[in-house]
Amino acid sequence: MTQDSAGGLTWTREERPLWDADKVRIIGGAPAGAFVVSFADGEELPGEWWAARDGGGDVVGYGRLDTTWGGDAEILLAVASDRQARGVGSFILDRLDGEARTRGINYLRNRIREHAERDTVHDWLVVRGFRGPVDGDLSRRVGVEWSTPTRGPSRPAAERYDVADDPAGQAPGHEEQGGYVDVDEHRY
Amino acid sequence: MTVDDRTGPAPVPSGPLSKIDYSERIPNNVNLADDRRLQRALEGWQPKFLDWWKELGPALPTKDVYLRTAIAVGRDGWAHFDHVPMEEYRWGIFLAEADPDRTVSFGKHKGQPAWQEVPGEHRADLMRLIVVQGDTEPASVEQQRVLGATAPSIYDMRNLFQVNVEEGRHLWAMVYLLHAYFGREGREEAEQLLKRNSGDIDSPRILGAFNEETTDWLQFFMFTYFTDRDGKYQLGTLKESAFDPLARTCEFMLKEEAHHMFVGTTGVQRTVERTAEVMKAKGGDATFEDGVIPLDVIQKYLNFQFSVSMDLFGSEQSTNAGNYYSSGLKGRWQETRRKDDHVLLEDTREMNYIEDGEIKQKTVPMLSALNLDLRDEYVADCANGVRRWNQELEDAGLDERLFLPHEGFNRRVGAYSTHHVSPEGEVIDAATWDSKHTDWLPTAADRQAVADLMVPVYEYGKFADWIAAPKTGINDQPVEFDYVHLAEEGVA
Repeated sequence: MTQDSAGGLTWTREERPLWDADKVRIIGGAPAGAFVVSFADGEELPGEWWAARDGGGDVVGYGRLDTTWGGDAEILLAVASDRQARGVGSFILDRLDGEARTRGINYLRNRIREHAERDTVHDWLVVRGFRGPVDGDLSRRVGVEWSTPTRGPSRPAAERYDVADDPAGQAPGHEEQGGYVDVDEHRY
Repeated sequence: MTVDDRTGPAPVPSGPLSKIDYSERIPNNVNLADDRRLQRALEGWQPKFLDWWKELGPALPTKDVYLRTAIAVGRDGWAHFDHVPMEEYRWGIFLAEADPDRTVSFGKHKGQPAWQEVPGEHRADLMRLIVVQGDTEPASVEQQRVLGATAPSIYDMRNLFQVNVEEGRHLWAMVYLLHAYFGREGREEAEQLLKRNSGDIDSPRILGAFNEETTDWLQFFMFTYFTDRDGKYQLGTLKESAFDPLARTCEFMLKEEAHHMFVGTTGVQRTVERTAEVMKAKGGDATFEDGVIPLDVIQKYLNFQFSVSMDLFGSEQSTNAGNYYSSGLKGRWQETRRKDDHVLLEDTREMNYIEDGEIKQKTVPMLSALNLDLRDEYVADCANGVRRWNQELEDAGLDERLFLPHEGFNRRVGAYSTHHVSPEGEVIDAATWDSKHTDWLPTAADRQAVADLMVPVYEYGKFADWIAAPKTGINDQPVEFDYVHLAEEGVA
């Protein structure tokens, strides 16, 4: 068992991953279509699995790499419903990226076509470097430092520059005319 | 269990000759002229391909090369040989003959008519399979672009260029499928196939081994033997696909791929032959000072290329691979000759893994272990070449032998990726690995010493000292045939 911890969370490799109570709770409890899983209780799982645990030792999320070829890997990323929007997903994605890098994998892939909240998940992935259509393959280059959005209240956009001096009039509220909105990068 | 136990006899070859339309700008046997929109899209991609070829294709300037060009796809007379300027090679789109009665031979759609269009629910998966296959084709051309400058003979240089132009054609084959069946997304993926580059930091080729530098001709031969062989096996599984255009495309690509295997097999064999000759004459080990590649360095190169090529098969167990099979997208090697139900829902197999510092076995569902199934077929095939190379040592009266390292050696993907295993299959700790791995894998000094031997030999019929001449030439031509005419700036 290998461990790695950051921000109060611990990353633990599962040597013999099983479909157990924690996975039923976290993965089985996800919105419809989020994951395609059809395993029996106690069944051994294909792929490489890691658990994210909080300081109390409770599992709060899972990450998995399914390496179909030796160059890209499909990820599974699941966060317990009561721990979402607290950085657990970013923690898991960062760790999966690191695991992929040590395996010589160049691209991470994900597919969310059947996910009930796919637009939200698509935005979350795009901000973290994934590219691709919501109904197709999303992929990102492994090992690149993607800027994870900072937590907590952000400054209003208007405070970042002097709106009056903006020659193109690209102030908030005029995004569609401004041409500076990079939807792909989600940097408005 | 051996391969022969699981498969029956080979099917009788069939299929009429199908002439390729060479009057078109893009040679093809898919009636491209009848689909003006597709034809225009491909004609728009063609100059980008040619720009890529000029920028990242073979660097050595040549006037023309004695190349094999496909002229038909039937079992007889499919290729024509002639001197051709490489940039004028007729890269085109050739599919194997259609079988109107073909049915899906495996998975949940087994017995249904093969698909002539892409089913919506499998669109993303099929496109991904085609993109990954397509990404490997130009990658090897990029990896090998400077090798012409150190070719050990004109004969070998011609073989390198033949491999390169055919990898270029295989890229065309995948791009045709993307353009013809996947709309705007397919066209965008086709563009990306020229934008990712081997070894590029920001945008590397997808598969790991296709980003390794091809440092010298021994590595080129090892690459064509081990890594191109992975391609052969992947094409063999796609040849079984329910998506008929993909199946027919890959079936024809396999014909051309056979030559690439030949280049690797005979290239290493001739290297071993020359080393064995020196060892026999000396009555001991050959060294770089003897002007040949020492046998232990050949073994190191073998260890490296075999292990990185094993990683190309992915992890032993993969949900995706099982889904591809059940959906009919990607079959097994020799699917139609397998003696089982071709659905595999109840089947299991044994799989090695490491626990408590030992290699153990466990039983896993067959559907989850199809990467391993394909890899096993590949390993059995790899062993054939090693036997052939060892025959050279035996013929020279030597006791030394080359061998395939253990499947767990130097692995970064799958069940062995978090462990260290010696070439003999012993599980070792990190300290032992750190102290021993330079005995097993080529060091920078090894690669430099091999590179120092790589002096170009451009005189017809002559060969560098480190490699033996082949027994015969290409297409019944003599070994000393003028296979390549160098441009004046290439000779200088």
